[in-house]
Amino acid sequence: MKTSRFNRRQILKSMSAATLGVAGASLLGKNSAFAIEGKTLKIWNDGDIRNLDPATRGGWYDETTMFAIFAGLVQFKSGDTWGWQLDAAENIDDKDPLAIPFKLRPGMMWTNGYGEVTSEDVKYSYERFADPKVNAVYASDWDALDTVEITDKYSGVIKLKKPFAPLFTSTLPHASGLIVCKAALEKNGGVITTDPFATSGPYQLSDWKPRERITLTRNPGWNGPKPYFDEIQLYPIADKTAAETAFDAGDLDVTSINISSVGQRKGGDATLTVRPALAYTWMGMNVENPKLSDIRVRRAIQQAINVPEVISATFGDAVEPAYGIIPPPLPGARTKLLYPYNPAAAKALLAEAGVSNLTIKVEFGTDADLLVAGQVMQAQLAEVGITLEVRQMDGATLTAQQQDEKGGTWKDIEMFFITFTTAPDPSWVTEWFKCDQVGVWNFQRTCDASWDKENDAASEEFDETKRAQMYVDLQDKLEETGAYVFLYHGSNAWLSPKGLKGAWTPDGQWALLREMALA
Amino acid sequence: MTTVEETPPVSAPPALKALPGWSTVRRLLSSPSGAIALVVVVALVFCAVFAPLVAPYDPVQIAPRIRFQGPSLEHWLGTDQLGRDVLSRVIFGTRVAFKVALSGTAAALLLGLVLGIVAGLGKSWIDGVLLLVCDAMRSLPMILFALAVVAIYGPSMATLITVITFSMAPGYFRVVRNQVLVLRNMDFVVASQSMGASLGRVAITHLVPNLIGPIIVLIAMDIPAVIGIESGLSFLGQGIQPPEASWGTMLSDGYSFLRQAPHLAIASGLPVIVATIAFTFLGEALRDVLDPKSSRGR
Repeated sequence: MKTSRFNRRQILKSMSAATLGVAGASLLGKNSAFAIEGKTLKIWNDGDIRNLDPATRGGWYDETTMFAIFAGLVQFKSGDTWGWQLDAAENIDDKDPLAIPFKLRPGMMWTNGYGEVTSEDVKYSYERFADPKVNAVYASDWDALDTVEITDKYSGVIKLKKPFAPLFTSTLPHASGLIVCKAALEKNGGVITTDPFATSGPYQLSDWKPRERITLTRNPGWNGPKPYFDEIQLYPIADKTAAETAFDAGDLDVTSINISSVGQRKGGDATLTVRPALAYTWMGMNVENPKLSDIRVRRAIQQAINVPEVISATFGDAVEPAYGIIPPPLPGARTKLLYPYNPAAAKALLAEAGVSNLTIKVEFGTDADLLVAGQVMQAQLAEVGITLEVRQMDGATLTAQQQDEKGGTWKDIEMFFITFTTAPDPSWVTEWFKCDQVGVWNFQRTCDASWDKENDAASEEFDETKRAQMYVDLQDKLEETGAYVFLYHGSNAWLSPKGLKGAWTPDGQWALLREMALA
Repeated sequence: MTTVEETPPVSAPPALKALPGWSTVRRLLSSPSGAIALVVVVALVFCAVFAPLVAPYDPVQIAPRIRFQGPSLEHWLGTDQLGRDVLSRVIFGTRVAFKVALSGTAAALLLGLVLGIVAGLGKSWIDGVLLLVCDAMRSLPMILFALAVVAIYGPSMATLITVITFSMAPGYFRVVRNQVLVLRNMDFVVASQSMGASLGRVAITHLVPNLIGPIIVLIAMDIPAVIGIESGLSFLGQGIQPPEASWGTMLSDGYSFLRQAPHLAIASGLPVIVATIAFTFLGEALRDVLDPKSSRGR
């Protein structure tokens, strides 16, 4: 009998040929398979759900799901301009800055048999932000809240201790304004993690496979506008390049893509949606690190970096450089820097500080764009005699080190790239740079009590012009510390099939799942 | 815990082997795959050694205005996301790959050789302890071990070489120890010891020459693995750091910009494939030449 036997060498040869063949074929073949099957939508999510509690939620990876499964009194409008629309509330009155009466839509039911949504739930949802047991990460959203007065089963009045300008821009329509089920939470220890216990939005969380898939199905107790899709599957994929490949392969119907891919996608088979992000990316310096404790050194680094060149080299003309932390179109977005690129001044400052042959490192999470930016800065800083070590690491590990107050490893951090995303109000942007945020989210560790006071005052100011100027001043003061190099605000880009009516917040950060539909 | 004494190889080495020389190279060249592999390896070594002379441009000089250019007469392999010449980076990447592979392998070999000889000739408890330690080291998955070390000491070429040294030395230790266990009872070793030769002299004059053959084969087989490890860790951002050119970091860039500039991934992936295959074939051919018996049945 004739038998076929392969030896190691033959296998190696075959594999080499096969590898080259597959590589060639994959590069030659361009496949785009858009197919929304039935009424199920498969959409990218930038991470897995971690915490679905409005008071202690993790980030936008949680909020996309939360906006679909919970209802708030009001919700963000989709489209190009920021605004709010009614959600669980039948009506709400924003005329009085200290007393906001509302009336809930009757007949909205909680899942899992917890009955009807009432004003008691609203009171519980908002007042619990001040409960120390809840330890609300977003406590500042409801700092101004005095009480929620219940009028009847469906009506109540939100009473504030002081005027709070962001109430209708970044508190009520955002995740802090979502209503949780009082009965369900009281029964389950008062805190939500990844099991919301009971929800009242158009969808319910029906299945969660950690790191694999989050499945939402229609909530039978929802009596608001009926969403189009029967089922929505969210796929947590951190790597946008992989997500884009999954989109092309037909494994995802909707995905976010890297800005660097936008140029290639223009005029393609899919609908490309690009929105200016409400995000801010900057290079921070740890002012308590000995290498950076001298403001002259920090200023020298600030002035040695040509941000427009960095941005141009990183994104081409797809992204504009930033002049502060507050992104346009929010009030207070700056239009110029106090200390722009000036290598001669940088050299002089280093000489004045008596610093030569400075080697310093910048750390950041794995991000292809920031890696490019880091290498451009490396070349720019070399021109003034600073050696920049560019180090990519796991983003969560870096954050853990920056927040490691007990172990003290935050002291080893020198410089870092960081991106924050904000709700549509400048108070949300500046909140993280206060003294009480040092080691929490303020990793530059800059602290000035007068700055904090001015920041608080800005959130109470209702005069738009005056308020905008206050935020410009606050950013000027941040720049004065030398610890910030503002880089860019960026964009959010999405791909979807031609027939899909996509729905996103105006910054493209949150996919508004309940409004997505086939045209 | 008990350690299991390994059975010495059935085919004991000859009394005294001559060091591999021109005849070995001639026999190597008589095999087509061995000849091609040798030519490719020599070409890669040439690129690595003479990188500054061979590379047409400075590999770290950025020129954003010409980013993502495809292959042209000016830039044979195009330019990357920062406008750097890809060919120059591939050439300098060869130097990095070889620097890591050769340094790491050489250090691992030296360590394995010394420990193997000590274990083979020394007292049984020393052998037992060394076996225990080396087997424990071998049980660690190399990539996980590397990631843990990098997490503690930070990514750098020195860290990479250290990780490779400690990961690969136990393998060399095993081979050397087994050979020494056989050799130590051979007449010429016993005679040398009975005439009062020191341990060092026995090792240098009798043991090492007999170990060279299998070790050369082992090195040739291990180098592609080390190149793969370096590229893998650099791909993950845990190896060679920018702006230094490494095939792994270039592959990572190629992956990030696969749609805009597929030439980046091809240009950085091919050298890894070519070097890996060339070294593997060279190792196979060397084994055929230096130890023809072991090639039977493969």
